[in-house]
Amino acid sequence: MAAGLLLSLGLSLATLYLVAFRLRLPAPAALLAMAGLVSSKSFVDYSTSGLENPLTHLLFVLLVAEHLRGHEAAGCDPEAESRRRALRVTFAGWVARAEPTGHHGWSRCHFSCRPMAVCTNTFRGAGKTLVVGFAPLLLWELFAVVYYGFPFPNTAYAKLAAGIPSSELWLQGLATPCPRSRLIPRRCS
Amino acid sequence: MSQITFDPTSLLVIACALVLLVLQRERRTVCARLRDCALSGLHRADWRRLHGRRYFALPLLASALLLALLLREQLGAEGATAYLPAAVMAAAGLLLTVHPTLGANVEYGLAIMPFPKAPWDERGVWR
Repeated sequence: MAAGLLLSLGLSLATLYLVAFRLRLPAPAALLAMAGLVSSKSFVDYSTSGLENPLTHLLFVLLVAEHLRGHEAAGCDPEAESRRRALRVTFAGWVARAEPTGHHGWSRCHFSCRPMAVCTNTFRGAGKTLVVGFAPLLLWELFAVVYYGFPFPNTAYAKLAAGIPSSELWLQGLATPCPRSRLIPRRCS
Repeated sequence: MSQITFDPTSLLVIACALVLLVLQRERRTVCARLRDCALSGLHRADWRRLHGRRYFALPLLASALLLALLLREQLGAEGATAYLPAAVMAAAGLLLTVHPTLGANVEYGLAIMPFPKAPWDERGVWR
């Protein structure tokens, strides 16, 4: 219990460190971001909760930092750019693994995948990067099927068997990757 | 709405970031992705459910980063006034939130919340 809380605390401090020093923000802008974060109960309460939030936050900030670094150095060295892209996909893969039932998973994944799909020259290269980047998720799914007998967390099955017609669930699922879509009405999950 | 009562700072940060994004007409990819994260979180978080606030944490983080990135150039100037937005944000957190996180002591999370016990008040329910 204490180890989990300490780990959460360490990850949250690392997140704040990255926001302060690794996003190349001027000090007042970094302070503004940090003031918003530490004033929020949503962020503070779950930063030491022992849940997956702190890890997700750290990976998310790493993803954003890598994205910014790649944006600033775009066009300098194709090989380095390719490595950065692969790193971004890897972070996205870890985020997807850290919170597989998360409500924001799709947004975070396409955060890195969409620019990569546009920039990568070949489908083969894109496919290889995706497989390597999402290897943690794929390996975990394999382990879950062998060990638990099903690929998704039990909370997913509990929610799927809540009596909601499957036609509605499919529509909601299709709406998930398009947060701005107004075609399909959504409800709070 | 429990989030407005319990943690208005999160909503304030998210709203400021989104409004500023619209006003500045910023089109950088990273800003668009952060906006999507903020919006998707707002859209999907159930504001009254148990652990509902947990789903605001990531949209809040995306919004805080968005806010800092959007104001990066304006706040890059030398001088004490550049620190004013951060001070205003901290003051808003202190003044708007009941039992604010800044300045909290060991009693934070104990039975002093002036709200009825509800599923969204995790600390009140699980003492």
